[in-house]
Amino acid sequence: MKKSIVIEKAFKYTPGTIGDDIPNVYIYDEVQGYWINSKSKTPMMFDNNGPRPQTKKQDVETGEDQKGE
Amino acid sequence: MNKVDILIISNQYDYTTDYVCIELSRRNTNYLRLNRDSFTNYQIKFNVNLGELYITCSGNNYLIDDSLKSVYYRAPTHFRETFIKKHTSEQQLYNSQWMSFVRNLTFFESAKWMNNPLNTFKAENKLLQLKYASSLGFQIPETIVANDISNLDLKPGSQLAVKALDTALFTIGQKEAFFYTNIVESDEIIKYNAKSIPLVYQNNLHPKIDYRVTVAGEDIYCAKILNKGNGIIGDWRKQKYKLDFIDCNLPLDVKTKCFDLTSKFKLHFGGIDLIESKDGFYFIEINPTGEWAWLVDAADHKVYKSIAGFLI
Repeated sequence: MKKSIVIEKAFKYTPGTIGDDIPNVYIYDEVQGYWINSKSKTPMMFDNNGPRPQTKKQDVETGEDQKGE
Repeated sequence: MNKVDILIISNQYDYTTDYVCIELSRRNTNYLRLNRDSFTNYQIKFNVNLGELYITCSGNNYLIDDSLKSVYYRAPTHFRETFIKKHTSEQQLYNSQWMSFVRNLTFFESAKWMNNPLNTFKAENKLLQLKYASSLGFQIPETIVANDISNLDLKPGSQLAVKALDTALFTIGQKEAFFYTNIVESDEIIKYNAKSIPLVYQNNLHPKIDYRVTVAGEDIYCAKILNKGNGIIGDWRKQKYKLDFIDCNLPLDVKTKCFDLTSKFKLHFGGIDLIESKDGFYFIEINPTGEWAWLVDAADHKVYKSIAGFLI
């Protein structure tokens, strides 16, 4: 039986756990609303060692309208 | 009690939102980020008669009322049930009921929304996007949606771009799967079962250069997408780390059309995919909740400054 092209040609990947890429030194600051380095207090997005988005999807293919779904 | 001027709806692991909050903090604004994955950490009371929403978060008390200036909405509008069977009963209820709560924040109608989910919902329809883009003067690919390829009038040896009509994210066994745009030979298409779902078939624009345009408030950013100086064959998203995103300017008329399309959908933000082919620019799609964070480093696009500027 023929299969759908969507299934046959889909990019397949093993889903990771959300937040796995964040080193332990970073904590989420509920009041500021962003992740910070717990030692230097530098926002993770501007910390040299922090994980920052380097590709469109960071290998999580959630589609553009499913933020965190 | 902290009066909130700017409300941000996101989730805790959305680093894109971090950029915006950092900028809002730098500009000393009264903002509050609510994370959809953290609602059980908040105490929430919404007095609908008074139009007052009280939130306690980390020991701080916040009030949102009709003086709310703006909302940055980083959340889905379509709740897809793809993985619902993996969820416990509690998770299913959490998702459906809190999503409804978040959508109901459109109660605050006088605030500026980037974007209002009601407008996003409409703008996420790809065929309507193409219709509007064409009406505004954009070239669009020849596009057929069908579940019966016998009607496609395929020419032997021709190539088609095959796309899902909506985000195609699903599971195959223990893996997740995502369907990108695929360039397929006409002879190959007949090997597949095309009748089960509607698919989008477009003429393959080749050679081409892809562009990612980000409209944010009154600003526009454009990145040309290349691999070692060359355009990409097929869907550029498949190539991930090999790509260069080069900041560039669009011709004025193309820029104007991007703003016009965003306005037509009543959006204040849109990630627009364009292609430059032999005979000019083509509109491909607009993403009302499109990603942009990777462009901060990749193309020096400080989109967060434009978003903060809009929200303030």
